[in-house]
Amino acid sequence: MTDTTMDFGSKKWEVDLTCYERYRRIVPDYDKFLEYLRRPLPYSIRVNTLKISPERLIKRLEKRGFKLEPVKWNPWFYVIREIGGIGQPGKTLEHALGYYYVQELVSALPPIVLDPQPGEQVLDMAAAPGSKTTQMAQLMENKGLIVANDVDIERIRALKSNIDRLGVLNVVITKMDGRRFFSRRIFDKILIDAPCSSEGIVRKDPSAPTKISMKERVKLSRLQKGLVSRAYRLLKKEGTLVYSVCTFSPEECEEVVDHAIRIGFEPIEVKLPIRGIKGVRKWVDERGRTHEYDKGVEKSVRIYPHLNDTGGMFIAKLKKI
Amino acid sequence: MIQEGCSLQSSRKYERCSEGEVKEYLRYVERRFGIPRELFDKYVFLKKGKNIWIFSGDQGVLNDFKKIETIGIKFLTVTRKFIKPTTAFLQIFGKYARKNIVELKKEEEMVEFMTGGMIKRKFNAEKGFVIVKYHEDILGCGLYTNTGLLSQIPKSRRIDKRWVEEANPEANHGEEESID
Repeated sequence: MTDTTMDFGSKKWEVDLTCYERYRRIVPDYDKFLEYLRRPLPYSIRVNTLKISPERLIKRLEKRGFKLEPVKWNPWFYVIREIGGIGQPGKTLEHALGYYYVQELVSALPPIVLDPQPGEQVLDMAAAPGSKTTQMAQLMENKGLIVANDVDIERIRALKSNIDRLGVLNVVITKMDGRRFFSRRIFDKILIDAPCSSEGIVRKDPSAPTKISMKERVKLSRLQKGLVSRAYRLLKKEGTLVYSVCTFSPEECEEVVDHAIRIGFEPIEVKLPIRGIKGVRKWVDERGRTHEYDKGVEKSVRIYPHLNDTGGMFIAKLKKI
Repeated sequence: MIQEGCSLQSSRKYERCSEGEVKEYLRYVERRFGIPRELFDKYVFLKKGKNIWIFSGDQGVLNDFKKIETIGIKFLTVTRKFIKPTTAFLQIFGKYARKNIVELKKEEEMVEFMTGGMIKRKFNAEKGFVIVKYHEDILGCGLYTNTGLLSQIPKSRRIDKRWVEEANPEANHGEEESID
């Protein structure tokens, strides 16, 4: 096994993994899962093809001392193996000019699954800070429309700045509670990269999964279902919804997809360029309660850190019928 | 219609530019920088206060959505005294310009400009707002005056002098050392 961690110098990297215990019975190879959760994740970047080609950017960053490894399954993404004297991947002229975006690899997947095309009408319901919005703008070649919505004004500030920096011309930013998103038009495609308990980002931020109470989980799950219900009304017939969260808790993953199926969505099999595991249909929580969901949840995908040496993610694809 | 709206106040802050206004702005961009106006046939122009925005979607968005924060990117700032292009706009469309482009040759000048400073020397350009280039990069908007070239790079888009000092020499030296 190759060591993929970055040199974090004297920075302490301590991770509290107790919150993952509840997944012991659903995660295959659980010990390896824990082992990977303890490892910091290397930075990765997405080339902003609206402004520069991968070849030209990589040449320039290599001159600055970056060692970059191309990601096999997508030509826009590179893993930073060494960063020279720069220390942080955003501290370059190239970053200031909007030639790239620092983005975790699993975060690239929801837009790839949604696959927005130039000219389409797309809604990004919880968009800030905009990694997926700007990636979709690249996929759409700056044509068509992305409505990038978020409820948090601070996060919208970051979204605005990223859109400006990357030169994205087809985005309207709105500030609304997604559950009550107002629109006089319907969309071809919707992305809900929902607010979640973020258990899957611990390799990026070891302070992320503080102990989440059952009450908070239920609250998040309710919010996520609310977003999905709203999305159903905002989609065209035959339109596609991609629902993603960077967490492992079935309450925020399969339970939300189960809700989507109940209100009329048809689950579509998620096909990924990396390894994933099908959604969990049945599991027992820490209180001994058994949860069982519609068989359709198995068409969604769980990405565990030890499968591809990435962060964690859950992705579902749903069609409005 | 998906939902009856109560008030569209917030989206009304953005307004469509009149045909005359669009003509005036595109004429400015063409005269000042030689960027052909035909390039913009497919774009929509909106205004909010003194700022003009450029957007590749359709202007129906004004009516179809509420609580709009931004539409596309900021294109120009228009006041009674001047019209000023934004750095974000020039970074996208500046490559089509033919005049009032100033080129920085030395890295120190680039750093001075990208950190919001002033470069005190003469350039071959008319006084006023200019496009600032450094090798293959369009850095953004500068104001060329009798004193020199003053950076117009917004604070959030600037670099930090320390980045360059810390990073640049090490990239090469590191390699040389490893050969020993």
